[in-house]
Amino acid sequence: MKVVYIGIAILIIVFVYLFTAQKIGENRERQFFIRFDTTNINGRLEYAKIGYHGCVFKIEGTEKEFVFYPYTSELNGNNIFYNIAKKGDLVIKEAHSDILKLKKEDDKVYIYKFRKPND
Amino acid sequence: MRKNDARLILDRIEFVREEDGKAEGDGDWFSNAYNSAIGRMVVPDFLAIGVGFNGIAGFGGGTTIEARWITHGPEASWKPMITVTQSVGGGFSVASILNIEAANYIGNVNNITRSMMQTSTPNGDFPTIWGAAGVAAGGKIGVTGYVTPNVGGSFIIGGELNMGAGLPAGPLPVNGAGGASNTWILYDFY
Repeated sequence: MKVVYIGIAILIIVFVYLFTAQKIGENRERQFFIRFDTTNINGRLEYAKIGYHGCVFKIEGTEKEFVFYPYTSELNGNNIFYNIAKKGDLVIKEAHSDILKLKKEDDKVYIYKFRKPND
Repeated sequence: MRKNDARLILDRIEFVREEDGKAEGDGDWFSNAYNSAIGRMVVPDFLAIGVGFNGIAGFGGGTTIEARWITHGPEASWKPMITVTQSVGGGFSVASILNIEAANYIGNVNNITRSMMQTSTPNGDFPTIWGAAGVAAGGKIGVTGYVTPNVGGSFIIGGELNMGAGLPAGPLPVNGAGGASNTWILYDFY
């Protein structure tokens, strides 16, 4: 009987954990997107890396990081953003725009569409 | 900005607009079938094979190193990534094992990315939670189930077949454990 109680307790803990993670995850994505969506970005990249299951990048001279979820596609030569984006590359995205442009030092331009909450 | 740059960007923006006009599901029949719900059940979104060690007796941890393939979504490729998974947990599982793993993303196939494979709790990600049970008496065979919460409220749900050498928890030749884990991408061949 004790084993059954332990099993039920573990199941409850798992469901509470998953429910909490889902709610916080949804809210987190919304917060990331609002910050990214409402900002005019036009500057040199300091770094880009994997984070929050997506992509984190920082523009030189700014305080905070941006988190977004770019789609790898023909628009960007099927290059994953955090793989190709390097320090010094130009990142351009107007507020509320559907695309982000990454301009490399050799003048190549890669365009990224990105996931929005509830997509 | 030079004139050529402006032309290139305008051309690509036009291409984006054309892409926007496409209905979901456009594409060849093979792609549609492969990325359908049934296709994703037949060939799971993520496949992996790994080796590692668990040392959990009451409380403990384990480490495995894996080759992972992303088989669906825009970043799918036959090229693997190499990952390392660090686990902590409770129960009893003392084993040296080979893992064969399959998992699915519970969400839109277009949103599957290679970066989903990394969970780093120190950087703010929710850890994967897992539970494992097996038969062990020198040799070991068992199964592990796990769930990884993703940003956006979706999950990756997966399972592993574990084979190798392991110790039983007591007089019966069984063992079981549960816990949490993080996975880091060491190298991606993509």
